[in-house]
Amino acid sequence: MTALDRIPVTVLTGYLGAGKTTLLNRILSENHGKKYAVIVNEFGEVGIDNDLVVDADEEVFQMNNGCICCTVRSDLIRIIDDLMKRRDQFDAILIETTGLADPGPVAQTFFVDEDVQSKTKLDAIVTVADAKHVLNEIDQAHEAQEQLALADIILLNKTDLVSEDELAEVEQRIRRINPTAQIHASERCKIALEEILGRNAFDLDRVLEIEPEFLKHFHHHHHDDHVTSFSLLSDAPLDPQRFLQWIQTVSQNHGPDMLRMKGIIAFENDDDRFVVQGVHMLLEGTHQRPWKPDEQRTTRLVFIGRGLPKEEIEQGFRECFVQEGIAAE
Amino acid sequence: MSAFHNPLAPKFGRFKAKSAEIKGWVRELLELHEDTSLTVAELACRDEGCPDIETVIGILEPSKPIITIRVHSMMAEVTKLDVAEAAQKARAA
Repeated sequence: MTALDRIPVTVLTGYLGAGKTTLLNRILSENHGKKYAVIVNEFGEVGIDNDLVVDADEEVFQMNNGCICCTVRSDLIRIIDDLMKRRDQFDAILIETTGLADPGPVAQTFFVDEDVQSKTKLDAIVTVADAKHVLNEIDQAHEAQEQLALADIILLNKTDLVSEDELAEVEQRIRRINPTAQIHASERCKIALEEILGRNAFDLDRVLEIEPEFLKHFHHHHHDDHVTSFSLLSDAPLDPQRFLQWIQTVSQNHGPDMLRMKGIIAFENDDDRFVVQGVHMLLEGTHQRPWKPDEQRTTRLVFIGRGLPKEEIEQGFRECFVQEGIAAE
Repeated sequence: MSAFHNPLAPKFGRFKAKSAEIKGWVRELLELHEDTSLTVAELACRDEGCPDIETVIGILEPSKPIITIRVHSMMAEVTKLDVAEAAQKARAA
């Protein structure tokens, strides 16, 4: 099986009642010509019209003495193992998590296990949020924040229940948690499916390809969020050896709290952009494409996590410069 | 493109053959049914008490506790003897 043959997997998360099952049923009922294998929890409780539905039992496997970074979902490994024996029956896999599930181990399963990684590829984490209730959920539940933090795509649902001002406030609050996700507003999960499926969000080629708010300055309200984000920018070129050593140290020291990290790096004497991404301790990085002649060679890094020490990380980043010149937002 | 060792290079496909070989050894040594799911991963963890690098094998049978076999070396260097010794330890634990 080549990289192109790997089955795309979309993870649907979202807090209780946000509309995950509505979205799932929309995906399954639209006439797109694709067949999906669906992995759900408690599928007996909701009607899902699909031939290939598998019930997951949310069994986690801590591969390394309780280390959160090495925790995967063993039920998914088993299910995917079994599904691959029926490979000809579907084109892609959808995983719906429970409203209170931590999507971290789900994502890690697609990077830690060799076989899962060789047969499937995580396409995107899609988080559905209820526009009317998500602010309260963010305030009340860490799970809600972490589901937003891990998302590549956030479907802000039930927007008909809020005013334009309320919607803007919700978007701004979500942006503080996750500045890199694409946010789509919807009513009853009505969205063009190409906006959420086949996104290749974990491909290094697409790291920060769409960066809607990346370079904007955020309005910092005083919310004591469990999960926050910050970005580091610099026009000064970085030393590759120092940077690669430093980013590994950051992930090793702060991996349990580092939910997502993405970056585009400008190395000294290097005509190609270097891209990195991480989920907890799992880091990937590679050269991407040449810098364009008129493109500003700016290094951009986004960290999303639980109480990450911004000043310490910023200082370490500064020490990777060939010369000084940092701006942090 | 400047030349430097990239420790972050994607690992996709790098361990596929070795992973299959290790799974074959585990099935043979523990006489596991072909339907039993196995997981093999090379982990580098800096948590206290964890080795710098190890290969972790999980035996995932429905409705049974997961059996974990740990070999304290890189996946590429794991031998059948390593797996046999580690499996014996796991069974005894």
